[in-house]
Order: sequence, then C-alpha cells, then structure tokens
Amino acid sequence: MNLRAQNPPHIRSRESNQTVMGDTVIAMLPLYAMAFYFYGPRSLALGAVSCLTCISADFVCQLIGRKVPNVRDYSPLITGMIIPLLLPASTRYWIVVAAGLFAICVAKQPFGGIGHNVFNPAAAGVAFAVICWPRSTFQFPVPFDPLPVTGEITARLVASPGRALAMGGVPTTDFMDMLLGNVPGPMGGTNILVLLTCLLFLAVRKTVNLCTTGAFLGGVAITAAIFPRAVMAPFPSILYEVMSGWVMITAVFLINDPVSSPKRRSARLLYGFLAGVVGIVFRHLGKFEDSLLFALLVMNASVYMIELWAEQAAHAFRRKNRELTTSANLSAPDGEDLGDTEG
Amino acid sequence: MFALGIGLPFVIAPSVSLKNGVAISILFLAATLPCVVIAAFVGKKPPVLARMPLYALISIVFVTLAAVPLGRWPSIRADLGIYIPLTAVNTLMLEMAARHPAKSPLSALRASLVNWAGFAVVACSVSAVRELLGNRTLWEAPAALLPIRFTGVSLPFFGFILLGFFAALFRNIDRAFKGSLIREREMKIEEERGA
Repeated sequence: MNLRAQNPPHIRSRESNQTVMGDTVIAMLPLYAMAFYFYGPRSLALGAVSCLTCISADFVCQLIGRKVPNVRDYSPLITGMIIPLLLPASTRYWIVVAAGLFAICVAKQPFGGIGHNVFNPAAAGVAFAVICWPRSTFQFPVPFDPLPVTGEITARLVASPGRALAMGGVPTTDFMDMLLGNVPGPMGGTNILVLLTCLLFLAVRKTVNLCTTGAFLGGVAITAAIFPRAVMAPFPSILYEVMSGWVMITAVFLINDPVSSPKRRSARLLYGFLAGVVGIVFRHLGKFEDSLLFALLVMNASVYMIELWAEQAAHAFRRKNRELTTSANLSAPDGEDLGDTEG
Repeated sequence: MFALGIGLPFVIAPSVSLKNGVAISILFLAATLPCVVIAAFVGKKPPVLARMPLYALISIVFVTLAAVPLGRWPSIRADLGIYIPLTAVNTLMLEMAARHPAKSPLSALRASLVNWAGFAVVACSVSAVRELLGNRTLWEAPAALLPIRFTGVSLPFFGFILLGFFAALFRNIDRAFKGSLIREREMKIEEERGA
C-alpha cells in the first residue's frame, strides 16, 4: 500500500478542496453585495484589486519556487476577498495591495504555500496594514456617504463603535443598526445579520465547524461579561464586543481556516475559546482600536501546542477507559463460578 | 552568518537606519577582534572557568572605548541604547574566542575579520532596507524607492522577516554556487574518463 503524507486541508467526504473553497467564496459574495449597497462601487474595486494582487503574487511565488500553479486552488482568491472586508471602504488601494503582498509573500508562500502556512494569510496581511497605517485602517466612512472609486477620499471619516469601547466609553449606536450593518466599521465586519446567514450556509455545507465558532464566541462573551471595557451590564458588554470590529467576521471565516486551525475536535474547542479570550484581553491592553487579528495570529502560532495537549489528553483518556474496561472484565460477575469443578 | 542567523538581536532591533547599522558594526568589530586575537595569544593558559569572564572583560574595555565617540551622535546612541553594552557580551564573540585559544593569532585575526565582515554586511543591508522602506531615506538623505512609507518596518518583527528572507536568498545563492562547482567537477571527471 502506497502511503503518502499530505498536509491540510483534508477532506474525507465527496467534497473536495475546490468545493470547500468555492463555498467560502460564495459565502463572501453577500458581504460584497452589502458593502456595495452601503459604500458604492469602491468596495467592489477594492475587492478586485486585492484579488488580483493576491492571485498574481501567489502565481509568481509558485513560479519562483519551481512549482506548477494550480488554477483550481482558490486560496489566493479567498485571501484577496477577505482582506478588503476587514478594512474600511475608504482604504487606499496601495494599502490593500501591501496587505495582499504581505499575506502571500510573507505569511503564506515562505512556509510552503497552501496547506503549510502557519498563520492565516489574510489576518497577517491586515495586521501588517494596521501596524504600518493605523490611522487609515481605523477611520471609517459613514454608510451611504458617496465614495469615489478613484482619487482622494473627501467623504467624512468617523470612528466605529469600537473606538468608544477602546476609550472606556459606552457606544451610543443602536443595536438594530449594528445588526443591519448601518454603522461605520470594517466593510464586511458590520453586517452581523448577513454574517450569521453566511455562517448558516457554511455550516449546512459542512465547510465550517460550528464547535470552533461557538467556542470562539463563547470565549469572547465570557471575557466581555466578566471584564467589560466600559461601565455597563454584562449583556450589553457582550453584544457590543461581539458586534463591533472583527469578531463576527473572524468567527465565520478566519477562525475556521482549515490549514491554520487544529484538527481534533477538543483542540478546536480549546483553540476557539482561547482565541476569544485572548482577543478581548488584547482589546483591553492593546494600543489599537481592535487587536483581535493579533490574537488570532498568536493562537495560530500556538496550534501545535494545543494539538499536542489534546492528543496527550485523548491518549490518557483512552488508556484510563481501557484500564477501567479491563478491570471490569476481570472481576467475576454474580452467580458464575469460574473455577468450580464440582460435579 | 546569513544561514546561521547568529547575532540576531543586533540586526533585528537597533538596525533601523544605515547609520545605526554602521555604528553597531563598528562596535561589533571592537568587541570581537581584540578579544579573539588576545584569546589566541593567551591560549589555554587561563583556567577553563576563568576564560569566558576574561574574554567578556577584554571585550567590555574595547567596546567602552569604541562607544566614546558615539557621544557626538546622541540620536544614534539613543537608538542603540542597551545594545551597546550587550555587544560586549554577545555569544558570537565568546564562541569565536573560545574556538581559537590554541590557534595562531594570525588565523584568529583572519577568522574574526571574516566573521565581522559577514555581520557588517548583514547589519548594513537590513538597516538600509528598513531605512528606505520606513523613512524613504538612506543615510538620512532622501532616497524615495517607493511613494509610500511603511512605518511598521522599524519594529523588530520586520527585522526578523527581512533577516529570514536574506537567509533564504543566501542559501539559494550558496546552493547554486555549490551546484555549479559540483557540475564542473562531474564534467571534468567525464572528460578524463572519455580521454
């Protein structure tokens, strides 16, 4: 039997890598539709520029590495689509290009390409953009304000509800507006209702693991309830933390990246929960308005350790189970005389 | 140097401009050269336990002397900060000094100069790239390579990434060079067999 070691994503059903990636692309299309509705054609232009950058960079990197580019590998397309969704619609094109190049040329290809990357490329690219240009990445246009496709942005740029939380205040935004996405924020991160629909679609298609998403949101909720960033009751704190910034889009797309997340169920639960906790801790302590992507990158680096602990725990549990079963089998049941030869 | 990635902290943290890169290279020369040469002269005479503290002491003296002129450039001194005294006790210098106690001072001098040259090339290359991308200057003179500034390149993480890329580039050049040498040797052997 020829055994061939392969790196993730592993698919053990009729689905293939192509269908999984295709589902993710389809799930992001409604987000772009909403971004177009709120911010106009600039949102689509940003997506196009980002996708082109990522696909070209991936192609060139594979040629340099003497690999044959696979046209059915949609991973650079997915990276290209996610990056603008994490940024404001008023982002300059060169920021998106820089983020895309960093995502592919630093976070993905040097580690071996698809299936080998340690970090989520989109998260790494946007984190790089945040470090280099924090003002541009945390100033958002108001929904329905016209944005030019090219040229200088003259529209009013405001802070998101996350800024109020970061300053220790309570946002004055209506929860319904936050649910519908009618608030300033990342292009794809504010449409909570649409994101939930995308999550439902991906869960039905079995592209995402609801354990990881649930654990992540659980970690965020518990930490936000215990340590609110402003003086408010736990429930509003949970709602504001979950519905502001990158939490929901991370819960739907980034945390479920099959390559950079663990494989075992128990490891995924721990990974998701810790990512949520660390994300809120980083929001408390970080100097940026939202540091969730950095928390995700830290957790990506910890996946190996989490998998190791989960495997050791699973082995210990199975060993204990086996010992208990063996000792139960050895003890004589009632009424049966094992060694009686009396006639 | 590139392939082993030794001397990481000095290249990653303070080397954010070419002037800093040159300054740290000069300090590294002052730390390494006298210490390694003196270690070669002294040989194995000092007891084993006393050798490392002795090498560090020699290095500290020379680094202190080399750091005195830095007072004329307070901004460079401020940028280098704690890395000035750290240069005096860096592992690379101690490892080289420990490697040469029984060898001739001339070979020790040659080895330390070669090592220093490698360190200086790495430090200055990384510093130059970071200054170009981060400030769009080179040696504090305008040299706009790109129309945008990447302010994040002055952080240590970018130094790590840049060093990694340089290491990969050097390994590729090394492999290509060795590959061509092997191919030449094989061709010679085939010619000799043919003859």
